[in-house]
Amino acid sequence: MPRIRHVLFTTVAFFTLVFVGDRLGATIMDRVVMSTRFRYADLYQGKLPAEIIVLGNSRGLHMFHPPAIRKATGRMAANISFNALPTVLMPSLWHDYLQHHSRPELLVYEVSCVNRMNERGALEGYTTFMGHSELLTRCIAKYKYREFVASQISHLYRFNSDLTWRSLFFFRSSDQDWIATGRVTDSQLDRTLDVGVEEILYSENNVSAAKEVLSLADRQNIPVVLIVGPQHPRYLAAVPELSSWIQWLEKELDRPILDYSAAITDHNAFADHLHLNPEGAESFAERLRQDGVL
Amino acid sequence: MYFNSLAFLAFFPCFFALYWLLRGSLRVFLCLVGSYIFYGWWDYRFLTLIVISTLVDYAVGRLLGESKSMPTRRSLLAVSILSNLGILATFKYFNFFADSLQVVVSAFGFSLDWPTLHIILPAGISFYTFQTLSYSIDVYRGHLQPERNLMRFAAFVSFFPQLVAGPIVRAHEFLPQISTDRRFDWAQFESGFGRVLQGFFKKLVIADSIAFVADPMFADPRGYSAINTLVIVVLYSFQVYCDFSGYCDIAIGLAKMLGFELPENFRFPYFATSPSDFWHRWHITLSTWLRDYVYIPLGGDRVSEWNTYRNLFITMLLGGLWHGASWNFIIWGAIHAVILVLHRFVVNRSRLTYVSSFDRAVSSTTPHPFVKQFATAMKCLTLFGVICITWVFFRSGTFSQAVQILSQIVSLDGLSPSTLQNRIPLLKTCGLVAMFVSFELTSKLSLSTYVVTRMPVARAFYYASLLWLIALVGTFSGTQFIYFQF
Repeated sequence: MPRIRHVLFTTVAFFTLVFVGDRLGATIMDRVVMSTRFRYADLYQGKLPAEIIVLGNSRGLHMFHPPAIRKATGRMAANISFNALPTVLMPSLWHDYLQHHSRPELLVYEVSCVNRMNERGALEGYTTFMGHSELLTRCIAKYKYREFVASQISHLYRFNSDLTWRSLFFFRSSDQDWIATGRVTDSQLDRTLDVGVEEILYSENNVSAAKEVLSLADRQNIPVVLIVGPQHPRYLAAVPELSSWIQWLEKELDRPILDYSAAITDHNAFADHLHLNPEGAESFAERLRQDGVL
Repeated sequence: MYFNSLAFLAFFPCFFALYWLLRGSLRVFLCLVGSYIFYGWWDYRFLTLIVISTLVDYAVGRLLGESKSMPTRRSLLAVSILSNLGILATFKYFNFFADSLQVVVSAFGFSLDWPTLHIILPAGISFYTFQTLSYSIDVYRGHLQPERNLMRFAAFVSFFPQLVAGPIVRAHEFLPQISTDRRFDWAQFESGFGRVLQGFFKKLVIADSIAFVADPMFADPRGYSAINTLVIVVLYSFQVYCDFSGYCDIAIGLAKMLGFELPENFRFPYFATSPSDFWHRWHITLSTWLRDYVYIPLGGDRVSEWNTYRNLFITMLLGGLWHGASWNFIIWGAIHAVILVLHRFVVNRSRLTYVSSFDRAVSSTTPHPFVKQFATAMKCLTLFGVICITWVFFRSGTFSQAVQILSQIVSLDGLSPSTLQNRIPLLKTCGLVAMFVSFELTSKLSLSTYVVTRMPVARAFYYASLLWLIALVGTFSGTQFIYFQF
C-alpha cells in the first residue's frame, strides 16, 4: 500500500509540476513576445497607428514598405501583412487592428494572396497570439483543429512557432521596416522557373475571407484599394492566366482591382521573382503616388 | 507506426496496460501481436518477410541444437545465411546491383536487359535480419542454446521498441529476459520514461529542427555560401546523431518500461579522440556485430599488419553497404575504412611519428592537467571535423553532389554571416545545438546524471523541462527517423 501511495503521489506531483510549469512558462513567453516590436505584438497592443494600412501576404509585405510609402506620400503607413499569411486569417487580423486602433484613412489590400494555396499552411504559426484574439483562435480551431487542441492542452505549445522566434529577433526595433534585400539573379530565376510557376487557385474560402475584409472596412467607411502588385517580368510571362484570374476576382468581389503586376520592369528592383527589394518598393510607392492611389 | 505519431501515442498506453495485466505466455503472445501490429501499420505485407525470417531461423536453431554432424550443421547455417541475406539482397540491394552491373556492362559497349524490381524497402529490414543471423551463428558456434519456444523466438525477432531502427539486440541478451516474467519496477519504469522523453527531445527538438534548415541545402546546394554550407554540414552531424540516438533512447526507454534491458548504442560519439574510439561509441551494436561476425572471422588483428588493414577495410565497406544500397554509403564506409587504417598505421609506427610522441608526452610526462585536457579537446575537434566531412557523403543524394558541397566549403566563397540563408531558423537551431552540446558535456562528466539520479525533485524538474522544451520548440511534422530507411 505505501508503495502504491508513493507511485500515485509521484505521478500526480509530476503532472501538476508539468501543468503549472507549462502555464507559467506560457505566461512568461507571452510577456516576452508582447514586449517585442514585432508587427503583431504591436497590433495587439495598439502600437501601430497609421493613416494607411496594408494587408496581404509576403507580396503585400514587400511591395508596400512603410518607410517607402512615408517617403513618397508623407503619410504614416503600417503593414500588417506577413510571409505566407493565410488569406482566411486576414479578416481576424483586420478586425483586431480596428479594435485596438483608431480608424485608418485607407486600406491597401494586396489581393494576389487570394490565389495562394496556403490558407492552412502557415496558420498554426499564429497560435502565438491566440491569447489576444478570439477571432484568431476560432480561425485556427476551424482550419487547424489538431494544433488548436494541442495549444489548449499545452499553452507553451502556442509559442512553438516561427512567429515567436521572429518576435524575439525584433526585441528592440520595430519590424515595420523589414524587407528582403538583395537582387534576384538570373540563375535564381532560372531555378524558380525550372521548378515551375505556382498554381493559381480559385478558392471559395479565400474569396469569402476577402469579402469579409471588405465588409469590415465598409462598415467603418474606410476606403479600400485592391491591388495586384508587381511580379518579375520573366516570371509574369510564365503566368498567362493571371489577368483572367484578376477578372474573375473582380466579379467575385464586385470591386475593381488595380493590376500592377507588370508595373515594374527593372530587374534590379526585385529581391526574387515575386518580391520587391527596398529600391523596388520605393519606386513602386512613388508610382502609386503619381497614379493617385496613395 | 512511427514513435512520433498519434497512432503510437494511442497504441503504447493500451499495450502497456494490457502487458502488465497479463502474465506468462499470454504476455509473450501480446508482445508478439503488439509488435506485428506496430510493424504491419506501414504495410501488413511486410510481415511476410519477418515471419519467413523468424520461421527459418527458428527451425535452423532447433535443427542445429539436435545435430552433431559438422557438414549438416554447416549446411543449416548456410540455409540461415542464404535466406536472410537473400531477403536483404532481393529487397534492398537487387536494383542497386542490377543498375551497377548495367553501368559496368554498358561501359564495355554491351547492354543487359535486366529487370528492375518495383518494391518498397521494408522498414528496418537490415536490423532484424542481422538479429536473426546472429542467433543462427551463435547457435552454430555453440555460444547459445537454441530457443525451443517459437512464440518467444518470434517475440525476440519482432520486439517492437527496437524492431525498426535498433539497437541490434543479440539473442543471448534478450531471450533470457523474455523467458521469465518481467516484474514491474517503479525505478526502472521511471528511468525508462525519462529515457523516452530524452529520446523525443533529441528527435523532435534537435534533429527535426536541424532537418528544417539542412534538408533544403542537401536537396539543392546551389546558391549557398561557404559559411552557410559549412554551418549546415556541422548541424547535419548533430541531426543524424540526435535522430538515431534519439530513436535508440526511445527504444531503450520503452523496453525499460516493459521491464527489459536493451544494449546501449551510443556513448558520446563526438567526444571520441580517435577513429577506432568513435566506432566504440557510435552505433555500438552494429560495430560489435561486424566485429564478431565479420572482422574476427576474417582474422581480425591476429594476422599480419597488411591483412589486418584488409580486414578493417572489408568490415567498414560492409558497414557502409549495410546502411543502404547506394555508392554513397559504400564511399562513406570506404572513407571510414581509410581513416581507421591510416590511424592504425600511424599508431603502429608511434615511435617515429610526431602525433604519437606528442600523445605520449601529453599522457605521461605533462604535469599540468589543463594541457592534457586541451590536447584531448583538440583531438576531439579534429576528429569531429573529419566525421562531418564523411557525413556529407552519407547524406548527399549523389557522389557529385557531395563533392559540390565540399568544394563550396573549400572555395571560401562567401564567409560573411550576412550570406546565411534562413537566418532566424538557423540561429534558433544553432542555439538549440549549443544547448544540446552543453547537456551532453554535463552528462559525460556525470554531473547531470549524478544530480538526476540522487535527487528525486531534480529528476522531476529534469523530466518536466524536457516536456516543456518539446512543447515549446519541438517539431511535430512527423518526420521519419533517418535510420528507418536502413
